[in-house]
Amino acid sequence: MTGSPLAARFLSPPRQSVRSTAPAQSGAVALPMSVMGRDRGEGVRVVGSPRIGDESEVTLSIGAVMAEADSRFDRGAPSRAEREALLRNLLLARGLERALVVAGHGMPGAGPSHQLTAAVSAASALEHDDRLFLPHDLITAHLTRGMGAEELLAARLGAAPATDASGRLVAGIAPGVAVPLAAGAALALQADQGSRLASAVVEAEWLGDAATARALELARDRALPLVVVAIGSASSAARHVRGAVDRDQPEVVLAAVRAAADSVRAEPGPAVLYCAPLAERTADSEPAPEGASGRDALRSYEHWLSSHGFAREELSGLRSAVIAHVKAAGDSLGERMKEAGR
Amino acid sequence: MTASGSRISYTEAIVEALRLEMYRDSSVVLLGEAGAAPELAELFGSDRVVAGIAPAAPVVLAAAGAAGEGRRPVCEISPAGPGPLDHIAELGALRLANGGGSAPVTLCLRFGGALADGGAAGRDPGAWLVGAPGVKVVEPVTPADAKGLVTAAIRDPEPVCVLEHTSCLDSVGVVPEGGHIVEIGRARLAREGERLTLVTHGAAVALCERAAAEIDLDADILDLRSLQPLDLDGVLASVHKTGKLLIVEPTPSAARITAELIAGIWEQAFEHLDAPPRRVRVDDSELADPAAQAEAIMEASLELVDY
Repeated sequence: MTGSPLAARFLSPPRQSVRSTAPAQSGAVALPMSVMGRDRGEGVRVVGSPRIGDESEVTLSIGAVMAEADSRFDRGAPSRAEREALLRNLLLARGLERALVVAGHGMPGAGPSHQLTAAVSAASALEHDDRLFLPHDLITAHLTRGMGAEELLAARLGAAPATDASGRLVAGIAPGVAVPLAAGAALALQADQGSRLASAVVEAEWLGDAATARALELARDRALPLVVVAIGSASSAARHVRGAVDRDQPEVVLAAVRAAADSVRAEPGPAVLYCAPLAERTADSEPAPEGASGRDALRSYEHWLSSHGFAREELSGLRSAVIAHVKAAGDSLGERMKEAGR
Repeated sequence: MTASGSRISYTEAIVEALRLEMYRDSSVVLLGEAGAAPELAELFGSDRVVAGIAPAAPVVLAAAGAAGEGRRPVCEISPAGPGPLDHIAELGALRLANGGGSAPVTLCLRFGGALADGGAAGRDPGAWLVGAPGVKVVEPVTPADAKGLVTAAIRDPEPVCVLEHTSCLDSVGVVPEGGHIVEIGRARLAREGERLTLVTHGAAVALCERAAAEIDLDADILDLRSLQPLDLDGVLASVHKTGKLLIVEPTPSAARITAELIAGIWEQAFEHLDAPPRRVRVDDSELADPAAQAEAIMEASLELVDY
């Protein structure tokens, strides 16, 4: 571990405090410093053609790894407004997914909520004109790009296009095409010589897909402005990947993606950020019971915020407002679909 | 050079179309392994000619991503293996799923002839692509059509696959100077006659022309040029005149085009038919004997004419 500011950010209070507040119970272990500190000093930029095999033998083929974190890309802790926006988007994303479950479009506990926390955090890190490519089941992360709750519900249900004419929102796609599409967008953005970049958020297993791996090679060969956020689900695999960040800590993901994006803007070439649960936990498929904050990233984050400048009443007010917003979006969409005879 | 154009090869005609369109529209970019890239790269620079892409790279999807940024990418790809064809289908499906928005991607697929890869490059991608939703498919066989259809494909708001059979690459013909567009969805009347409508496409066009010349066949030969959409109106007009239809498919596996044409004829021209429509499948691989293929076409043609 280095003593750089960026490395320090990854070891900053949000993560420590989140974990320290987690109830010590079976399957949810308070995170030891030694695990979180693993390779943290290596920074976030993993460039090359990653291929992830099975959990027992992770073979992340790394073309180049920043020797250490670069303090130039450390923006410091998020502002209060950024934290509020992040929490609001996380709550909205969770609320929309829950609404879909209630509406009968998913199985309880089988939704992508674990990936979604990281996806929303990653998407929050992008600049306004950056491009974001998301598989359909992570589309809710487009909340951060200005897509409305009702539009998202409609798109998630397949009742409306998931892409707009501006090119800022590209979703509704199969996970295997997200990175190749983003690489193509990055080709065009590179030719424009601006500071915009393309980004894709995918489940980590897709890094092993041939088209994704070839697209990353294309991005590496042509030094494209591309950030790929790979969200893994196995903590055992994550510990073998240098530079992995904790998927379940929104501010850690936010800071890491920002640093990766800033680094890509400053120095041509793609970055792959591997996010995975670094804490010991039970299988993702197991629904997190109510109140088990140590096993639920969003609950943990709310809990941490409650002791870092956000009053409990303020947080519950935000939660209530989000619930009302989701309900209104659902009701409005329901009316529209009824009118359309669907 | 003639009064109406220059005599150039099929390959030169494609390069000319690319060059003119790249001059005309700065959003046109070329992605590919090599092909026409060297001379165009010199003219337009590496930002607009992205050459040297690995054959296995998902260039079709990358092109779609670039199209989303306002580019009009033209990709040179080899259809060997399922990847590119799957990605083309994915591209069409994606476009439709997102409300049928614009996705101006031109995909030039060269196929046929090569046996060094075990025949993979010889497979006719048309058999895979016809039926893929949201994608147009054209197959020029003359240099003039190559120029005109590539130009039309680049200007089209939808993904267009341009199939280039290797047997056509060295053919030479008169190609109109300057901007030349062939409308996608219109067949070419390669020979005019009264007693039979012979519909074909791709490498089989030359076989049909050879067979017709040999027996002085009094037939319309329609080179489809556009496999998706099909020029059903053009075929119907000819069948109304001749009353007889022979479809010559250039690969044994390609049945969709025949099925589509015959269904259309039954639905819309049944009362004009003087004989049941027929189909001849010909093998367009290098191993096939052209004389035997032409013989099969002649035999079926004469049987229909005398029906």
